[in-house]
Amino acid sequence: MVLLLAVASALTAANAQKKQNPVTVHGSLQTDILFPETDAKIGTETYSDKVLTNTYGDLGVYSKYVDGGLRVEYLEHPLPGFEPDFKGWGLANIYVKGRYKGLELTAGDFYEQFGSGFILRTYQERALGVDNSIRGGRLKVNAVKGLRLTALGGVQRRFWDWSTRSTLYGADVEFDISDYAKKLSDRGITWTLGASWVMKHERLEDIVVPGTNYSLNLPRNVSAFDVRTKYYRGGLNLLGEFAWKGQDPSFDNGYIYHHGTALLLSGSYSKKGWSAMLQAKRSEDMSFRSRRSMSLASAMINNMPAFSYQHTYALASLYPYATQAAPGEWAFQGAFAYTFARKTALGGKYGTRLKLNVSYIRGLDHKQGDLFHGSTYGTDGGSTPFFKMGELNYQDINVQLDKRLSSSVHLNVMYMNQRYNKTVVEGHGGMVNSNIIVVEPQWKINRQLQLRGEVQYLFTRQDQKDWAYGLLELSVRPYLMFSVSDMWNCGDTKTHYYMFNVTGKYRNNRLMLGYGRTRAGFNCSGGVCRYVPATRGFQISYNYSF
Amino acid sequence: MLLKKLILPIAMLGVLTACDDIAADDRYQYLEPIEPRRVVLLEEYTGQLCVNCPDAHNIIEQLDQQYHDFIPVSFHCGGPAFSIQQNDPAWGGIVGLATPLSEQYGAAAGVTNALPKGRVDRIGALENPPQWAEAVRRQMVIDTEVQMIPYGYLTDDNTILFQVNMISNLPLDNARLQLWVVENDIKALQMMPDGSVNMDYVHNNVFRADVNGFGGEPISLQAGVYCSKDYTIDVAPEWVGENLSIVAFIYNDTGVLQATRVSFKRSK
Repeated sequence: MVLLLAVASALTAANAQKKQNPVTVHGSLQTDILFPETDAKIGTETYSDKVLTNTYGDLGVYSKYVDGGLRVEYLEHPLPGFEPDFKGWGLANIYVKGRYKGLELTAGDFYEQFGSGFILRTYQERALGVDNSIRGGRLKVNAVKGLRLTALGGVQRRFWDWSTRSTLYGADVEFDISDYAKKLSDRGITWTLGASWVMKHERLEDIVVPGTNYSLNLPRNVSAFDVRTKYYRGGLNLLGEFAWKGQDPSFDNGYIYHHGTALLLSGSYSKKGWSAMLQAKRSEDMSFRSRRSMSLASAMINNMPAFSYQHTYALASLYPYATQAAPGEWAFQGAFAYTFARKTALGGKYGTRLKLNVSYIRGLDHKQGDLFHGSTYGTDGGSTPFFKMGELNYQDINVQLDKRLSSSVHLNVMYMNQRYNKTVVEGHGGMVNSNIIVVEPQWKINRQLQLRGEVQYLFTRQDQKDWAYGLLELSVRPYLMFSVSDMWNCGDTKTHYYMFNVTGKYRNNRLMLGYGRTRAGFNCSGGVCRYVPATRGFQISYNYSF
Repeated sequence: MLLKKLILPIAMLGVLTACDDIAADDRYQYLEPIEPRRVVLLEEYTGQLCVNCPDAHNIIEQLDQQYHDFIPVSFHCGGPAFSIQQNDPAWGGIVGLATPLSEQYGAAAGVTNALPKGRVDRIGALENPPQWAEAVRRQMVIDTEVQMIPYGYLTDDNTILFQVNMISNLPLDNARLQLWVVENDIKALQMMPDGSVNMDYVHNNVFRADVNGFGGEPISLQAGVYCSKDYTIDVAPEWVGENLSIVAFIYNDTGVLQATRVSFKRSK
């Protein structure tokens, strides 16, 4: 890593001296370190390592015609809660990309998304331990007006394994109708049609039906298709997307030979002072992995878009929802934002912004079909009427008020009503009904000092009952920030999860030092979740980019 | 032109690969029944709060009925998310089947909070339940040089007298002998796949204790020479003697070499 930084610094310096040189070098270093301590009160693990770290170093060289890059990852002693195969270190990503006129060819590791990600989304999310990049080749053609074409093939990364037992192929085409219809473009309309195809070719394996002398005749190839249309005119955005997946017996679906489907309808409108969004999605059996017998978050080819609001407040994100790709779900999401203008009754002197967000997600009404020797293996997996819904998985209704009270004082207030089916998401615990109140004042004391506070309270009679949270954060601009927080389970365990942090920023460097406890729970992003065990200890987080 | 050259071939390819459906009648392949050449051990990692675990128990039951030479042992573990510890006041008297020792075995196997998991004869990594049947079948037809002959009695004063006789066709060094106490027919809470709670779920093959320490004891066998070991085990008050089994197995770095099991009836 030191060598990597030295090379990068030298290249940067050289580059700085040659301003005319079209070649640029960029890179970054991210390291998160924990010195773990055991704490029986919060149920930490016992650790054999004194220091745990997830460290990533990126380096990229960019020019007009050719780019190249690599990433080294050191995860040999990873932070707690990642899958066992996550452990390791080495060159995780290397690529070279050439472009000429409307063609772009990539060889090596790359990330790609087709449409909303129903049938292909490869990405990196370090907090979740997700990196499902593809190692192979990709061609993008953008040589014809209004037409974008992508074709790719390769093997998928699963932690430190790029096995050829499974290979991926895909193609995507997007056509901009408005580029060929003057009437549309004259009226400011953008209308796009898109279609994608992804195929997984996977080596066969022996899946024996338990208690019998039969194994499954598995498909070697699983194809998935996606068609979509997007429409935009003057603040109005419409999207319709449908995806279909062939028979894909897998661990996720109980080795049934069912076709997966997903339908998304989305509409949004924004105008000065207000905006609204409404979305609906139905998905069924859309877990699509490059390895049929994998579980948890690895080897995913696609990513079903999350329909739950991603909260940043601690108690609002205490019960995050994980998208149910395999069993499927009916999901609805709506958002409305309105700004009361200045110098009105509700707007006051500085204006007031009000936001309403609603997420409502139910399971499908699944009827069990015929079994084979008591097992779902090899069956069609029963039936699920299209419009019938199953039990409630998740509900979030939150109202947020954003108000400047004076030139130096700002206030955010949120009320949230949440219903979280813990059994569906975590496998146990039943329905958790909660009400959450958040008050977040900010006081700009002077040009250098700013004080921010958070007071949160979660009311619930279920699970661990009530929680309280408080945070105080002092920013000394532009270099330092001090924060102290405590999350207190006042309803049941009476446990305090305290945290002290000091963060320094200097040029492209950011260093955070912290000490405290973190609660066991699920860390989710985009509907994908990772269980994070309780920890206590001294933390260092350092980021550098150039 | 581009439309014809690129998009149409891709579309054709897509359509062709889409027709890879397997009809219902063609989804199963008959496998010749096997002749077991060894007794196979399945270490299962499970939890009472895990809704997917009863499905795994069903798989174990099906395998148990199919193969006589199959020994499952269920470790209740996986941290606070899925296990209920014995005598945990937070659960107000509900019978918990996890113990610090079962958690220790789970941690040693690399169990996280993703349950259920299992490993057959300690070969390879932890696997999901759908892989167990194939792994058991595969392992069962592998020859072993080691044989184990157990004897066991449950006395009236709740003591188990257990003897295991071991013999190997080849000299065996750097191996370990492990003995576990396992209990069947324990009625206790279990979260079910539909999210309901079954307070009278019957738990079988539950790991209760190790007899000769965590990881067992070293064992060396000379070729063709019997080695015998005797153990006296006190039945703990919370165990039901008639429902107990002693599972014994010999293992080394390559995995489990042989396993055996004795269930008890009281001696007359």
